[in-house]
Amino acid sequence: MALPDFPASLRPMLQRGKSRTVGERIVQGEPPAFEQWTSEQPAQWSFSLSYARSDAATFWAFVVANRGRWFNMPIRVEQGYIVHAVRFLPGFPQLASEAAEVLTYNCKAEARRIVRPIDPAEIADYAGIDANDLDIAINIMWPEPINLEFIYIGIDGNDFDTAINKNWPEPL
Amino acid sequence: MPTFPAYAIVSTKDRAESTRIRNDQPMAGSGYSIKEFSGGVTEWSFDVVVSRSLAQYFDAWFYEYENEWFDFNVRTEFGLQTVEAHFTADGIPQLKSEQANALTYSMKVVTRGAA
Repeated sequence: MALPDFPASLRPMLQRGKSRTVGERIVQGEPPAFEQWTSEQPAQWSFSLSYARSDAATFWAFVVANRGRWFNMPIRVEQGYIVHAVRFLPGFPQLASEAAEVLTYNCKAEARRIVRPIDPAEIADYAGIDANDLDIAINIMWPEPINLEFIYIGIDGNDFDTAINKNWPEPL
Repeated sequence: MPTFPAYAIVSTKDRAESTRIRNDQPMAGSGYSIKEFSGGVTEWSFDVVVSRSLAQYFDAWFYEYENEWFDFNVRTEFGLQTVEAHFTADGIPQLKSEQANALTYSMKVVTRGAA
């Protein structure tokens, strides 16, 4: 069954004040020795949602209708603005403040995992490079130039053409 | 061995060393200490500030190398040193805050060797 979507008319979680906790995947022994005991990495977000009174009604109706249920919500993570299947944790959202016509809710939501469309294994080693996305795109991910030797195969030229136009030495 | 991303800014940090001696108390007289271990472990807790453009790589790095020892450059009393480090079980990087294009992660590592 398809999950309900967070109302598109409502502003998603604010960047300010947002924090995230991911689950532990390793156990630690003595002396420091480690073992991975799960590949699961559920994530929890703490964040605020602020709405004008008119939007607050839409939001609260959605909350009441979907208590404890999973729903789709776009969340800005490291790899971009990506839809995650989340649910509010028990006891959340809570109305934290009401100032004039703006209602602010404190929320905690969890997802089974952080969605990473790009496989972390592919880009992990770029982390040590002091470069921006453009540098990495140009200098690392850009395809190698096509080998010119292969281009000549497709040219309908004879040996003379090749000798004159390809193999002839450059003028001094 | 992977290297902790060099661009990471260590904005705050604290350090805790495991004890190598234990105190003992005779039946009478003053107490004394006994050396228990010749080596110890050091735990560093710190925050790292990462720009949003690099956050996806940093996120991928610690997701991929969460359970591996890595080279870690840390400033000690004796200058910048490279030690082997590993995230503790409860110290994997957690997104602490987002301010404009700066993402702050807090984490804890245990080191072995000098430093």
